[in-house]
Amino acid sequence: MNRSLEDILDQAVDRLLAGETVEDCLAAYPDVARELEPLLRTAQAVAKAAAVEPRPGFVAEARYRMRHTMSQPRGRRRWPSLSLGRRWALLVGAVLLLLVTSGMIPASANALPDEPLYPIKRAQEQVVNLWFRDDAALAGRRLDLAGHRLEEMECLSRRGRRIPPFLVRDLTEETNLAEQHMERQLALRVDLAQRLLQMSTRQQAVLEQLAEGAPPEAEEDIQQALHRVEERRQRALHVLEQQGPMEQQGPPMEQLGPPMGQHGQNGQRPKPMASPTEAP
Amino acid sequence: MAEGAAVEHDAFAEAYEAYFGRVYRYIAVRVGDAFEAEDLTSETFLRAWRNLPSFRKRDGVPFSAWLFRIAHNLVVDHLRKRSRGSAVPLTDRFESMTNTEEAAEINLTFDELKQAIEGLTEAQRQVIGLRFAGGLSLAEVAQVMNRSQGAVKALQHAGVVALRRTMGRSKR
Repeated sequence: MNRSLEDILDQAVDRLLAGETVEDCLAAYPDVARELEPLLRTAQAVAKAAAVEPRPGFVAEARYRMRHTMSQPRGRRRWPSLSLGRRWALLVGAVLLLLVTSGMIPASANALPDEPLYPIKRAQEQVVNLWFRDDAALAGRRLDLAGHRLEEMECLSRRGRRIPPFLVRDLTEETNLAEQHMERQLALRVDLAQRLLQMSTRQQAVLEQLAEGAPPEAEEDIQQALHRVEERRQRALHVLEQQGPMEQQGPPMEQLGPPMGQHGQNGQRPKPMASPTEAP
Repeated sequence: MAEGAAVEHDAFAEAYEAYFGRVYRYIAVRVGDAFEAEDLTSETFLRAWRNLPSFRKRDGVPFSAWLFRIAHNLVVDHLRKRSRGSAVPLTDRFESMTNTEEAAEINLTFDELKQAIEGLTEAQRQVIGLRFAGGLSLAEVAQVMNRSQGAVKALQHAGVVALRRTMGRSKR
């Protein structure tokens, strides 16, 4: 009996998920209708409750990211891997997109990750990236973008809003890309090394605040980001040391913050920020 | 060769549109947090795209089963990491999805469902999530879980009975 009820329930669930009512389903199985009804009502409630829809902003952003990933050769994720022809095709497409959405671009300039115009802001950034050719310019551009991500994190935190984990990853990604471009240029461009050092110091401060109240699932991302920041910081310091005295190249060491794990002379940490997945 | 790549690209883009919402719903029901569900949904499709060559080598496994298996593995890893620390509060996580009066009702029902699902076994949770949120057929669920259809049918029945009991208790 139980076995047959399992079969009947499964058939009835199929009908329910296809849009039939509980009453229609029960009418099809009159012999077991009494036992079936509470189960079908439960199944209906579960299906209804599970019918959650993703945010439109997320759908748009995810689609944009997916298309971007699919437009690149699998396993390679950098612009230089695209042929000149494909870069031009992409550029033309992007410019068209820019024209179509031009009215929204100014409005999206200050959009934050949980706002509907944010995908447009990010798409526009990608289009602008195409104009940068040499490593020095690209490194500067990536540092600018890392700065934007950092400002978004600070802004969300100030407003008591949740910082999505992808923002931490994007921050690290932009800085990594900047670093890759710099590696070819660093010996010649002391100003880039200074900017990298400043950016790393700022990132370290923000990430350490985030780490204070971070839930376990965000810890790994933040710790990895902090680890990378420290490596980057040391590398930039090394380059600057090779080039000459620090005083000639940028802010004094005390303005650049303590190394990882140290939080000022009194050992106190700054006030925690709203962390990824933490609701206000 | 280039034509093959273009076909693959178009087919995946089509599958992306077809399964995006279903994968999101499955993950949302399993993790109970909209932002985490967003991250895991994106990651599911990125992994699927990167590993598409390995899918082509698996004869007889439908794309849906393969895709949901990726989603399931990500969910399991995520829940394992989360269980090492304190649980993430579930309240109000889906608030931003809609702003109509209906939202409060859906939100409440979703929370009830989340709580009720906590009382199920892992296998029951997976079946309920794949079937009712992912919208997979019994045969597809069996392929995702690597179990017989009979076993999945029994898990579905036991899961619905357990949910009925839990939801009945909470309504009293």
